[in-house]
Amino acid sequence: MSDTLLRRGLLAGLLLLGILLATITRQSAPSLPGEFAASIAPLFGFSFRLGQNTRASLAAIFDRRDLRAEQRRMQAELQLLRQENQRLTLENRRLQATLRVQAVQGLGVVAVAPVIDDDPSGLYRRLFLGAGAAQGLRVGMPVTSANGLVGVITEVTTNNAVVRTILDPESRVGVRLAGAPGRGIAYGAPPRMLRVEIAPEASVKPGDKVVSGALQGLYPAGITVGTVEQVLPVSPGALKKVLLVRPAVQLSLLEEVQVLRPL
Amino acid sequence: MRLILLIVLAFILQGFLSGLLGDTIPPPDLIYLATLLVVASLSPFIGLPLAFSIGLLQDLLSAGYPGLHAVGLLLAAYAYYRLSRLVHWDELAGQMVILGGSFVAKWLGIMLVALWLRLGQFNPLTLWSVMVPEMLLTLLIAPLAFWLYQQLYAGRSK
Repeated sequence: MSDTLLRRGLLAGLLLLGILLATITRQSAPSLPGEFAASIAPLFGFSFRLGQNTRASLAAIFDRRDLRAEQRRMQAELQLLRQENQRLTLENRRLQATLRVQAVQGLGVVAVAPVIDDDPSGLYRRLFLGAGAAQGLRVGMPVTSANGLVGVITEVTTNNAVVRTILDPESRVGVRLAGAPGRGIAYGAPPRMLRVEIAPEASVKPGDKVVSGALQGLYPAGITVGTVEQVLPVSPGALKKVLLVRPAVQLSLLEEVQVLRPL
Repeated sequence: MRLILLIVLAFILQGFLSGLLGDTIPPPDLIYLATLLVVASLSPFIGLPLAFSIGLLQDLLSAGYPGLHAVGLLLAAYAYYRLSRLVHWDELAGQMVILGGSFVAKWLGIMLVALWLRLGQFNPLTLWSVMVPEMLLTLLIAPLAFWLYQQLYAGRSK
C-alpha cells in the first residue's frame, strides 16, 4: 500500500471520526465540552483576562486623551466666552455712557467712536478716532463724553477723524459759570489745564463749575467743561479775570467718545 | 516537548488576543498557525492525527461541538501537505498559496461538520464577517509568527 493511499485513508478515517464524534456528542453538547472547558478555563483564562485588562487600559488611555482634547476645547471656548463677555461689558459701558450723555446733555448723538490714538507731538492735544465719514462724522461736530466736553472734529477721513480737544492750544471754547452769571473764553493750556478769561466782575472761586455756554459757538451750551482750580489775581484796570480750570474729562483715559450733531 | 509548549503558548496568546480585540474584530487564528508549524516538521502520519487532536482540544476548550475544529485543522494540515508539494514554501507567493489554501481548507472542514450537524447558522453567508478578517489577520501575522518560531526553536535545534 502506497504512502499516498495510507495518507488518504488516514485522512478519511480521521474525518469520519470527527464527524462521528460531533454526531455522538451533539446531544450532550455544549454540556460535555462546557464541563471540560470550565475545568480547564482557569489555566488559559488568565491570558484572556490579561487581554481584556490590556484592552481596558488602552481604552482608558484613549479616553483620557479624549478628555484632554475635550478640556482643551472647553478652555478655548471659555477663552472665547471671556473675550465675548469683555466685549459685551465694554459695549454696555459705551451704551450707558451714550445714554448718560443723552440724558444729561440732551443732545443728539451721531456716533460713538473709539479713541485709537493720541497726538504724538505732545504740542497739540488731539485725539484720533476710529470712525470717520463712513460712520457719519463730519468736520465741526462736537465731541463729548459722559464726564464732559472733549473737543471738536477738525479732520475726517473715510474711517478716521481728528479731534481738537479743549486742551489744544488752538482750542477756543465759549464758556460760562455754572452757578453764577459770567461769560468767557476757555483756551487750551497744555498739558492739562484750561485758561479761562472771564469778565472781571464775575464772582468765581475755586471749585466752581464751568460749562460750555456760547449760544452761537461750536459747542452746545451746558456741557461741563471743568472745575475752577485757581483764580489768578486781577491787576488794577485789567479787562479780564483769568481762571485756571481743570478739565472734567481726563483725555488720556478716554476710550470712547460721543460725537454730537453739529449746531 | 517543544511542540507541546508551542501549542500551549498558542492557546495562551489566542486567549490574550481574544480579550484584547474583544468584539471589535475577530482575532487571528494563532492555533491554526501553530498547528501548521507543528505539522510542518512531522510526517503526515503523525501530523494529521496531531492536527485533529489540537482541533479537538480547541473544541473542548471553547465548549463547542467536538469535531468542528478537529476536522477543520485536519483538513488544513492535509491541504498544507498537499500544497507544499505543489509550490515552494521559500517563495512569498508559495507561502501565500499554502497558507491561504490551508486556511480555506480549515473553514471547509468546519462547514462540512456544521452541514452534517445541520447547524443552520454556520454558513459562509453568516460567518463571512468572521472568516474574512480572521484570514486577513492570520495571513498578516503569519510571517512574524514563522520568524519568531525559527528564532526560538530552529536556532536552538541547530
